[in-house]
Amino acid sequence: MRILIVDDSKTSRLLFRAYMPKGEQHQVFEAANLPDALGSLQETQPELVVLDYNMPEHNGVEIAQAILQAGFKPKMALLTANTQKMVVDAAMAAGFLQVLEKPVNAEKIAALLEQAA
Amino acid sequence: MTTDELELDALCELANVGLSRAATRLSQLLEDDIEMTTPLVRVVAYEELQQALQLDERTIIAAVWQELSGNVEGTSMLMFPTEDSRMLVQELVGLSMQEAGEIDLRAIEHEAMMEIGNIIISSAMAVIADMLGQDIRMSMPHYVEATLPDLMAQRDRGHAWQETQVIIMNTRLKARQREIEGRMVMLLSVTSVQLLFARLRELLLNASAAGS
Repeated sequence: MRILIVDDSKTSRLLFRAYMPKGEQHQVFEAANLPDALGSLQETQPELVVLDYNMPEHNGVEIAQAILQAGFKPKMALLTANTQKMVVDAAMAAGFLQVLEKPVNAEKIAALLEQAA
Repeated sequence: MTTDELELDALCELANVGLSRAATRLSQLLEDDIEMTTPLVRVVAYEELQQALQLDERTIIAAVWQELSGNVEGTSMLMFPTEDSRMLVQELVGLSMQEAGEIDLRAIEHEAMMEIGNIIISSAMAVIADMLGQDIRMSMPHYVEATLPDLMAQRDRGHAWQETQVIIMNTRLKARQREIEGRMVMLLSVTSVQLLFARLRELLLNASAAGS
């Protein structure tokens, strides 16, 4: 599966990669903000986009809306430690598959990939 | 990205996860949406703390703080303007002045603020400790209504360690329906800053190795 992770934090992107299942055929691409994400979507056509919620210029839900408006239709998951109802409701309304609670671990990522497959 | 930039990035992520967890817990307590700003993370000299927090030295704030000890030394603080703290307590405790009657409402407020602070601070610190794989112990919560200089003076008394540099992790938490706005701030000692960076380096190295 081709996966795009959109997070302003390099650390968070590294940790996501680190906990990806080993030995499986997945390609992970990275973007730090909305313009990078749109560029990467065009180039890599990912099946799954994982978005951080709390980012400086646009939050993850806003980026998801921009992705859909640009005509892309990937499956999406929101990555956040801010799991209050407001955030989860906004994610569900925007069509996210799942809200993945930070910090991530191998089990959470495996469950997400299974759901997205 | 240089090593220093990557360490700072890791610190920001740590703050983001910890403070987001605090926002979630406050949202659950208030049954309200909590808007939070992207956490501001800075390493500053202790004397520059007030300036860095951008607080007027005459403003009276209601603060709950807990000392951190074990592998990380410092202080975690939750601060509200005094009027907001009263509103927060009355929302949560559900007591009006009339209902309180003979009961000392101020005492109830202090107790409730310490409990609220403890829940929110603990939720943030627990997730940070887990991410770092460190044992972070927390003191009982303290509550004070004072200006920032007075608050810091009270906090400094009886400290076994002396900061010259502190990490500030600062975010604003604003309840959407209730006009309640607070801040959460973490101050860490120099030794803790060094330890934290060492642990972050380790974490990043492990992550890079596992991800490659």
